[in-house]
Amino acid sequence: MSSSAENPTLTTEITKPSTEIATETAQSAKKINLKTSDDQIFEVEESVAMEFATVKSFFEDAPSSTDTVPLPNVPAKPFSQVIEFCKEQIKFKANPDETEKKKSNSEFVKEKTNEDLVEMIPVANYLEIKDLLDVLNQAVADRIQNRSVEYVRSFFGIDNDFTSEEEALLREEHAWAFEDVDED
Amino acid sequence: MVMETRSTKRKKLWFASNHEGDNDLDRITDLPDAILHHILLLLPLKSIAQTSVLSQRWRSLWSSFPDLDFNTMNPSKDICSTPMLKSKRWWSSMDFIANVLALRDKHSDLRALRFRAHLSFSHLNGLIRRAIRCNVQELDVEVATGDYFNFPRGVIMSESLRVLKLRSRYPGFRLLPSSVMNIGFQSLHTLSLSLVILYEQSSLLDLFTESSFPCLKNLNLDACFGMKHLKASVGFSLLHENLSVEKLQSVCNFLSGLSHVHSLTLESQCVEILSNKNDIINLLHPFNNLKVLELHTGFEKNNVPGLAFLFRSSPTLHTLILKIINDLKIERRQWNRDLWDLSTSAEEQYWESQLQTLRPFLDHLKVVKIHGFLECENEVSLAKFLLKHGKDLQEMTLCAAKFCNSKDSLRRQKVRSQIMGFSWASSNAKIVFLLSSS
Repeated sequence: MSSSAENPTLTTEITKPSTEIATETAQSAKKINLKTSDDQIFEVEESVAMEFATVKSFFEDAPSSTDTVPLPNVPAKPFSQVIEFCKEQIKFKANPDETEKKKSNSEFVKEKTNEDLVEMIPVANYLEIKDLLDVLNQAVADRIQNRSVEYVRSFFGIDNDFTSEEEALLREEHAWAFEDVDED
Repeated sequence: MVMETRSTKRKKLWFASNHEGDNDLDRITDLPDAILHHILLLLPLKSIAQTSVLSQRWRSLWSSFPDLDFNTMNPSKDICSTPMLKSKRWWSSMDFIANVLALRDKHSDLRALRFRAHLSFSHLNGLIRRAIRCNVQELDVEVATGDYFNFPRGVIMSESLRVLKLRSRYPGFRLLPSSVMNIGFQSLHTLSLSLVILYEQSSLLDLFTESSFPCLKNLNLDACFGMKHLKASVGFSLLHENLSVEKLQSVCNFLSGLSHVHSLTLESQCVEILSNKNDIINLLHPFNNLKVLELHTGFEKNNVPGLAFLFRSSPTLHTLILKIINDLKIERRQWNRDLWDLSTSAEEQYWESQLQTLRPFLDHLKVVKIHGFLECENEVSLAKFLLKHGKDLQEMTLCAAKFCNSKDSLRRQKVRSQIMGFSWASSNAKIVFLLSSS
C-alpha cells in the first residue's frame, strides 16, 4: 500500500508509538557531559550519571538542560574511579546479588592506593553516592586501625597544627588510648 | 583566625592544582563532621581517641564524638575472672572514662555510653549522672561494684534516654519502688536488667503497667532472683498491610525470650502478626515448659497458620484458652452444613495437613476453652480437629458470645448437636456449652 493511500488519522496512530520508541532508545543511549574542576570533560551514560544524587537533582531542577554539568569540587582522577564504581553498581541494580556485590566492592577498594581512597571520599560525598561512601569509609577505617598517629597523618595528608608541647599534653591526656599500638 | 588562614591557603591550592597531586589530600579534613564521625564510628574506641592527636580539627571531632563504646576495649568474659578484678589496670582504666567525659565538648550530646568495669558505686553513679547531663540516649553498663549497687535514680527522669542496659556482675541490685520508677522513663524503648534482687518485692506486677514505660518495646530481664510473678502489658499493633519485618521480628524475639515460661497469654494481635510470614516464625524456640496458653485473636481464616504454629511450638501444653474477638469488621463465615454433609472445609483440610507436626501437642492437651464461640467455620473446624485427635482431652468448654434472635438460637442448637456427633479420640472428654454473660 502506498503512503498516499493512507488515511491521515491512521498515519498519526502509526507514527506516534514509533516516535516514542525513538525517544526511548535515544534516552537509553543518552550521554551526559560532566566537567571536572580541572576542566576535563567526561561523557557518561545517563544511567551512570543518575547514580550521582547531586547530578540527578540538577536534572530534576532543569530537565531539558543539555549543557555540560560543571562539577567544581571534583577532580578528574578520583572522578574516573568513581565512575568505574558506579558502572559496576548498575549491574547489580538489574540483577541484585548481595554476595557478588560485596565481592566486587571489596575488589574495587583492594586495588586502590591509600591516596585513591582518600581522594574519592570528598567526591563521593559531594556527589552523594551513599553506597560508595560506605564502602570507602569502611576501607579507610580498616587501613588506619591500630596505626600510629604519624601513619594516620600521612595517610590522610593532615598538617599537624599542634605545637610539640600541645601534642605531648594530648598524648598524656589520652594515655589510655596509646597502649598496645602496632608499629607501622 | 586560624581557620581563615587555613581555608584561604586551601583555596589557593585548589585553584593552583590543575592536576592530581598531593595538594588535594588535606581535603579529607574539610569534610563535614558527620562524614568523619562515620569513618571514626567504624573504628574501635581506642583508635578514635588516638585521632585526637592528629590536628586541632581532629581533636574537636573526638571531643564531640557521640558514641563512647568502651566495650570495644575489653572482651566481655574477662571481667569476672579474678586477675582482672584485682588488677590495678582495671581501676586505672575506670579513671579514664571519667576523664574522657570531663574533657568532652560541653555542648555536644552523647548518643551512647557503653562500658564494662569493676568500680565503686559512687564512681559508677558519677559516670551515669554525667552521661545523663549530656542527654545520653543509650546507656549500656556492665559492672562489678566492690561495695554495693543501688538503682541509679538519675536515669529515671531522663527525657533523652532510649536504651538502658544495666547489668550487675556483682553484687546485684534492687529496684526502686514502682511508684518511683513508674513516673519516669518517658522515652525509654529498651530496658535490660540483669542480676536484680527481688526477694522482698518478689513480684513485678505493678511495674510494667499500661501507663508506665510508655515507649517500651524491648524488655529483657535476666537473673532476677526471687521473682515470682511478672506482668508486662505488651502492645503489638498491626497496621493493615504495613507489616514490617521488624515488627514480626520483635514479636518473635519477645516470644523467644519467653521460651521457658509455664503460662503465656498473647493478646494484641500476636496471632495475626505470626500468621503473616511463616518463614521467619519457624526460627522460634519451642515453649517446652508451657502448660497454659491463652490467645486472643480475631480468628479469621488467615490466622489459622499462626495458631497452628503456636500449637506446634507448645508440645506439652495442658490448657488452651482461645478468646475470639468478634469484630464486625472481620469477616467470618458461618458453619453451615448438614450433618450428613461429608465434605470437609478448607480449614479442616488445613488442620488435617498439620496433623503430623501437631501430634505432641494433641497428645498432651487436656483442657480447651474457647470464648466468643459463634459457630463459625473456623472455630467449629478447630473444635472438630481437637476432638478428633486429642487423645488425652478431658474437657472442652465452648462459650457463646451472646444470645441472638430465635433463628440464630435454632441454628446454634443444630451446630451443637453436630459437634456432639463429631468423632472423639478421648473417651474421657466432655463438652460444656456456656453462655457468657458479657
